[in-house]
Amino acid sequence: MFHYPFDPSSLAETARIWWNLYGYYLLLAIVIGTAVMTLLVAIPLAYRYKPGSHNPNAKDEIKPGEIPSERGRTAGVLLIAVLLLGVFFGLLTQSLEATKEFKKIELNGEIPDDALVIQVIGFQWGWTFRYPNGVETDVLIIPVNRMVVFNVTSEDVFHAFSIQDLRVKIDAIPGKYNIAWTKAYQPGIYRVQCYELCGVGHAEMITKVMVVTEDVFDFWYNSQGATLEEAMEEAAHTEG
Amino acid sequence: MAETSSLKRWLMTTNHKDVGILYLVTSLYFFIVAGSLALLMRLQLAVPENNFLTAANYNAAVTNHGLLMVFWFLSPLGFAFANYFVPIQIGAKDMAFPRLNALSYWLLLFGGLLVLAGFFMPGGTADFGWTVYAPLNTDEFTPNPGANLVAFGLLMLVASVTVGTVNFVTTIALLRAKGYRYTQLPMFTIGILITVLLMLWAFPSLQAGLVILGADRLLDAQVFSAPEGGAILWDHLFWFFGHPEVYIVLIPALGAVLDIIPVFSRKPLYARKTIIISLIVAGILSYMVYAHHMFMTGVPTFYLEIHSLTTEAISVPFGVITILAIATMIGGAIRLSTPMLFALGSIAVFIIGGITGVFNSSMVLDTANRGTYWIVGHFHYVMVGAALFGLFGAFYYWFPKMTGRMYNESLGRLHFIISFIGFNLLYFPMFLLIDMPRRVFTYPEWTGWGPLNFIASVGAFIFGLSHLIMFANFLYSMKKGPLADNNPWGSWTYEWLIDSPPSEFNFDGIPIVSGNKLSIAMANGASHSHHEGDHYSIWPFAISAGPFLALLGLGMMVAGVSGGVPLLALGVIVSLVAVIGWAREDYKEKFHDLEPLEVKETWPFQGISKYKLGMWVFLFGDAVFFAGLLGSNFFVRANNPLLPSGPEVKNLIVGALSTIVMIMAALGVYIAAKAARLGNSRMALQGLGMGLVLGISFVIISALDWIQTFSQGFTLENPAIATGFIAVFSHLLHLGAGFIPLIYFMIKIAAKGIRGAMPDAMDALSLYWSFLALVSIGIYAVLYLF
Repeated sequence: MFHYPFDPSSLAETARIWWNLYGYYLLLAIVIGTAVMTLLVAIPLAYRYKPGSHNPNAKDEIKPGEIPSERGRTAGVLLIAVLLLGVFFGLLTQSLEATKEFKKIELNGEIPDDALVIQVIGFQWGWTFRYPNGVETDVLIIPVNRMVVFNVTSEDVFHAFSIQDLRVKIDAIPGKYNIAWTKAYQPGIYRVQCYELCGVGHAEMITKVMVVTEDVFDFWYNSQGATLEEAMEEAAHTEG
Repeated sequence: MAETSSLKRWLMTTNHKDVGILYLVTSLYFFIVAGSLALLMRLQLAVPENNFLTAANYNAAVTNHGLLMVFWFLSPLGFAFANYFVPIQIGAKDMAFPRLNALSYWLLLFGGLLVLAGFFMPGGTADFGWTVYAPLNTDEFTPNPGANLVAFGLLMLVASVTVGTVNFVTTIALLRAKGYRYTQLPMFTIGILITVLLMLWAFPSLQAGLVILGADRLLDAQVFSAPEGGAILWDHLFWFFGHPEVYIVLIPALGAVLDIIPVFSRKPLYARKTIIISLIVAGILSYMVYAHHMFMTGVPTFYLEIHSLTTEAISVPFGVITILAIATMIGGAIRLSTPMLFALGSIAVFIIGGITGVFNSSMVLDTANRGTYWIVGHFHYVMVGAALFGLFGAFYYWFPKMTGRMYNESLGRLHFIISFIGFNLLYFPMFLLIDMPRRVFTYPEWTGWGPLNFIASVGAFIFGLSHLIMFANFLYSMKKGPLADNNPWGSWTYEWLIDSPPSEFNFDGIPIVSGNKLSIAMANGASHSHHEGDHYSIWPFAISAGPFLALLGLGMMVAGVSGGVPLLALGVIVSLVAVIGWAREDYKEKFHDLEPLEVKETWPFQGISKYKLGMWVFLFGDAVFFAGLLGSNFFVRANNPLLPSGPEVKNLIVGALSTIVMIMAALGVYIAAKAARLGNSRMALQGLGMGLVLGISFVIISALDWIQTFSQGFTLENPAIATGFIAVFSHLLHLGAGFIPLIYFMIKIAAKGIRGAMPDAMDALSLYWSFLALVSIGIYAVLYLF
């Protein structure tokens, strides 16, 4: 299950938004990082001290008891600042653009009619998923190609609900309901885990999400409390 | 100076260099403790499903590792050098307040010992992470008695930092050599000045959070456990402090690096003024970026977007500094000695830490990053990498100055190479572990995180053990190393113009700066008038040991350990004796002949005494503390409309009366200060008497008012009442502290009349009382009217 650097954009819409932005950041980080790092290594090597070639009485030399003179051209410094500002402004625009999509439920203030809204309740140490029909599970089951909205809270301490592979993450805070969403593109099984230290059971606050086809999901959902195994069996049966 | 080994010297010293060495040894001790905790964690994580540590032990290790490394290693290591070298670099004989300087140290040490004592409490120590998230931090979810001691230790740390801040700002503002302008100071001193200003406004927020947490844990208050915003309140209070804290740790190291690079390149810093401006801009911005730690908390998106923008923006000044530091080397004659290697290593890892920090500015990217090893990698690149490498470089750089001997250069370079490789093996894999949650004590094998964790663990041991080379090198060289020149690196700053190690008062003459020349003018024997060794005082030690014993006793009492109550009583007695002892030294004017005699550069504070400036600095910080408490009250009520408003709980008339009494009390002290300035001791006594009587009246009215409130059936379980009560109680504690100097001046004026610096000190006292009057107005506005 280990994959890095991996492209999760085919797994879910949230992962796709994340990947597009991440790629942009990563590219710039590698370009700028490599450039600066090269200078950091090359300059000391190029200007290494060599006996004879160095004049200790030069005008802008460091001398004991003498405050070093100002050095450098304003234009050069400004250029660096403007370049950096430009890069970061570019990143910011991209980031805010992606945020608009990512946070569209909070920003628009409404949940699309066809979305499946699941209440996620974190507790020490596990998760409860409550479906609109009142069914509660400890394993998340969601359909593909349908917007799923998570209404996340906690009944004791601060947790963080996450489906890391699908790039879903939001804090689960007692007394507060936080919204996250995703739209999975293909069936699969992914890890659901808590990402905020919540006590001795933190490491084991782990379960899974099963992304299933619309048919399997409907079967499971309408069966009012069928077990996971039954749903899986039905899934195999349907596909067979 | 007394013998190096003399116990008396180390317990009683107030000399800035001795205090610096105490800081240095203490910080390295905590480095070893916290580093050992890290190695235990890496052993546990080396392979999946490991059983080396239990979850509880791992969480305790992770928590205390973070707290000790940040607060008791990195910051104190920077301040070890600051204590030792800032006074010398500005051309001063000592800090502005030498006894307060010793006090900062002892508060720090005893605070750290309280944290360590937590480990020995039955029921375990703090295990809620160094971020102490609510409501896990309350006694409902973490009943561990050791956690109380950790909170007490942090409060002592805040006290230490506050005292230190006042001292450093005053010292740098008032004790620079004649003609030494701010912009000419070495980058290290400038960095320390910016750092302490960041501390001044950041730590009070943590202090407010800790005080409320104390009420939650010990007095059954329910502020952070309240479902209506309790957890978010802690987030705001903590991160308003927590993000500047990163720069508080980083900037001293960065300052040292920016001094080391020019010296070993033989070229002046490139665009020095731009670097200074960038540091200031970054410092100001650092207060406005903290919500990027809260991207996933569901606070309003607009607020988060602003912090996303400022977080991007703060990369610009740091990027500029980095590039200019590299540009400095152009055209130089570069020697890659150990300090330079560490300085360049610091820049190298700072580039990676900084660039990965840019990723954290994006809310969308945070969906992947938040709470993962990516974050752990990022902040260790900044805090361990940039800060530790920079400070160790500074250690090598200043070692010959502090000991008078050279370390072994080959071993120094070996230390750099091994630690640099170990560091990157340890932390780089964490960027690849972007899926793995941090602070988990173990992970299932199927996650595939095993191999990268194993590499990181190997790196951890290489990195950790590599420092033994440094310890061995220094321990050997400080005794047996070849004697060092006064200026082995050809540096320009003041510390390199004097002996190695420096004499007790640093300079044999009067440091004067004219144009760009640093010089030490010979005065007519005036500089030798100091009586050597009479700067000793046991009271900074005692005044820190008292609260330590008391808080340890209190913690043991709460934990039900026997011996708590006597220890608490002993601590209170020691504290009282120490306060009286401290005051008696002033009464006898023991230190007055240590006042610097020469003319100093004091722009822009000409004519302002060190007492008054110190008080101003303190009050600027203290204002944030009260703003934090009253803001918390405002916050809990805004989040829960069912909580009672001021007029429903409080009697407006009584409140107004007490506020007016407090204002009149401050007026009395103001009159006393003015009278002292005019030399009128009768009127000064009357004014102080007025302050005393009205101050006591205020305490009585407030007490009756709160008895009335509680008798109405309100308890601390109501968050509005709890936060209000904490604000008032803190105000009363401040007032109680204000009575001590007031009574002291009354006794001294009555016995000896007005003399010496007394009018200056009374000005400062008057300022303090006026501030308390302002706070009481603020309390009235928020708790009564609103």
